[in-house]
Amino acid sequence: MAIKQIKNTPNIKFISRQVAIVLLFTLVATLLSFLIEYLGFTEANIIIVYILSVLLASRYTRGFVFGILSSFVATLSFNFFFTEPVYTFTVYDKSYIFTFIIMLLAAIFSSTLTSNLIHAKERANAQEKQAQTLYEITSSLAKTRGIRDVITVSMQCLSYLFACEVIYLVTDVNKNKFEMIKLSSSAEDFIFDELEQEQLNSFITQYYSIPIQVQGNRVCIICLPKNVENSNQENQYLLESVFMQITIAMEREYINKEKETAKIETEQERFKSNLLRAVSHDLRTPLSVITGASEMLLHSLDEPENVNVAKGIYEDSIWLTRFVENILSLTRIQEGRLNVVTQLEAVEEVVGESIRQVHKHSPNHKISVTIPDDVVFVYMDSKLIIQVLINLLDNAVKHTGPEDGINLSVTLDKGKIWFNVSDNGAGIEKKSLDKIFDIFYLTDNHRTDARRGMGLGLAICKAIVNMHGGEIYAENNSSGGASFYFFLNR
Amino acid sequence: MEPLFLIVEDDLQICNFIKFSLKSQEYNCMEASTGKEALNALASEPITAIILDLGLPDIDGLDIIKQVRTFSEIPIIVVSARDQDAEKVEALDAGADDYLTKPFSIKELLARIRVVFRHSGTQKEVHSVYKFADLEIDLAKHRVMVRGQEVHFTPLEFNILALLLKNYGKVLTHQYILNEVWGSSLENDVQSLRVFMANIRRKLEKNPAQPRYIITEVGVGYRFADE
Repeated sequence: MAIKQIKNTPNIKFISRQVAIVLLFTLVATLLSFLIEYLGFTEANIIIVYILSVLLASRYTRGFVFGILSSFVATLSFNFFFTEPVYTFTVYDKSYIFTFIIMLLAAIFSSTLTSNLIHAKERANAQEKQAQTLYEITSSLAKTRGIRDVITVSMQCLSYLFACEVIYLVTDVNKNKFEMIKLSSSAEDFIFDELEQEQLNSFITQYYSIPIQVQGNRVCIICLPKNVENSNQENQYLLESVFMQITIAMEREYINKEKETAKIETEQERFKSNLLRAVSHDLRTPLSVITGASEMLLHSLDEPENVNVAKGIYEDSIWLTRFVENILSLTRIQEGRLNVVTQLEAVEEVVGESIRQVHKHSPNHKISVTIPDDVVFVYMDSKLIIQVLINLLDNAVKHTGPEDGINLSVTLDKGKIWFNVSDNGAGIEKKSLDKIFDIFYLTDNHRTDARRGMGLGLAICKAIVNMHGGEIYAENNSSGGASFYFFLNR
Repeated sequence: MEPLFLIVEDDLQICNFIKFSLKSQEYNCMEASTGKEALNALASEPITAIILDLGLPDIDGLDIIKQVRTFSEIPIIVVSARDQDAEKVEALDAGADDYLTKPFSIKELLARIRVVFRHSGTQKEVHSVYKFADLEIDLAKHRVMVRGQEVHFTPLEFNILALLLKNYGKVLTHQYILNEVWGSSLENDVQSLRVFMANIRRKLEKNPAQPRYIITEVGVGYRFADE
């Protein structure tokens, strides 16, 4: 670390030092003047020597005040030591008053010029140093990888720069605590500790504390000794710039981290849906065989017991086939919403096909249908909407006996088309109502069939309907049974 | 002549299952697990119908249909997975007679087989009067009776109905119907075809949302249901 330290300079010490410099130069000038007098040179030489001392004093002190002071001291010394009567501040020859005034003016003028020059040079130096320091901090922060690195490197920078103890309070999102990292003024050892949320306020009031915010979140609080806050203007600017650099570095790291997390999540998501799709795909073929073979047995067996076994296999394989189709649809939906191609479809054709499919496997259930008299065309992915209707109708079939009624109605309302599937079965438990569309939500009451609780079918309905810009709802009918209804925009 | 089926299917289990169902109806059959084998069998054996899986390891099912159609009119029933909609339609337009989606039931398979035999070769049935449960249609007289009442059909509606009737039980693609009735098949005509179908359905069916006769094969076309 090549950052130069900036020292804070106490006032009294500073002033006395400056005064000492002034007195020293005047003393040297006076001694030199005695030598000149002894050698018998003219008085003009003495005046020149004194003016030189003022120039030098202005050069080696800070601020024009000391230059002016030096002018006065020089003039007075000349008066005191070298004008008649010597060793007094009075003069006999009135022309000396004029000499004093000219000498004083010359001294003041030259000292002011000198100190201005020095001041400008110092400012330029300070700015250059500040730029240099900032550059070094920026480049060391730019090399950091990860939040941790940013924290330690920036702590070292601050500690070097202000020669003080640095404390970071890092916000821990999960716990109600702050991680406290201390770095001593020698910038050698890190000390790790914790701070409870409640202790925060009393802790930070002891310090000059600056919160670092990234995207509206307080990531950490930097605590520095209070005297850093009261240091000179240049240090303040520098401090602000350093905090800005730290914020930028942290922001960069947070954004990187977010990107990384998002990337990992998408990859996991893709892997998951690829796996699901592969599995589902491979399940299809054996399922076709199981369904076909059991159906064949169903028709060729004679003994009722055997027929029942075959029937069980057949029905379960049908259920499993639907389940696999649902998973495939879900992966299709999750993979990319853009893959859904909507086109104008006649609603009655979609409804008719859904009922035909359900009827194939549940021929005993009666489904009554009402649709608008006129042909209605709606933009949709017909295969997906058919799947929604099949899932809803299947669900109704599972919850009702053949003697119960299932009703599917389609109605038009302004810019929307509503589909309503209702049954007069047992209805939905109240506490399940708002969770019924969640993936894999299982209802507690196993009324008819333990498996039918698999909420996957309804979750897919919701996903498909939402994808079409519609909404799906579930409620219990006042006359008993449940209603599922959804709308699509026309 | 006894019908001889060629089952082209690379999955052994499905092949067995189809074979078993066909044998239960006392149909004879042969198997081929690749496109090459299938073409060889067609060249050497007196095959009367093909059941063809679209997803074969070597040759695209579509190419097999096209090749077969260059020398033979024998019925082809296509078997496809559910997400092969586009291929299904292409296969039908290339000359396949009907299709089944996995998983299919034996009943469906046998029904398709009956239909394709009814409409193929020497056994081709052509009637002038068709009678179903509550429906009587006289093609020569352009007359449609629904539940004893005569119903008016416009010429285009009647042409569509007649086309479906002549192929009853068999799926007709949008493309095919448009070509036969209008003589052209612009993409947006599918929309007007749907409107015509809706009107026909309203004239024939008790409830157009639960059609008894005019069945929609979503994404494919229409079928006049005979059973």
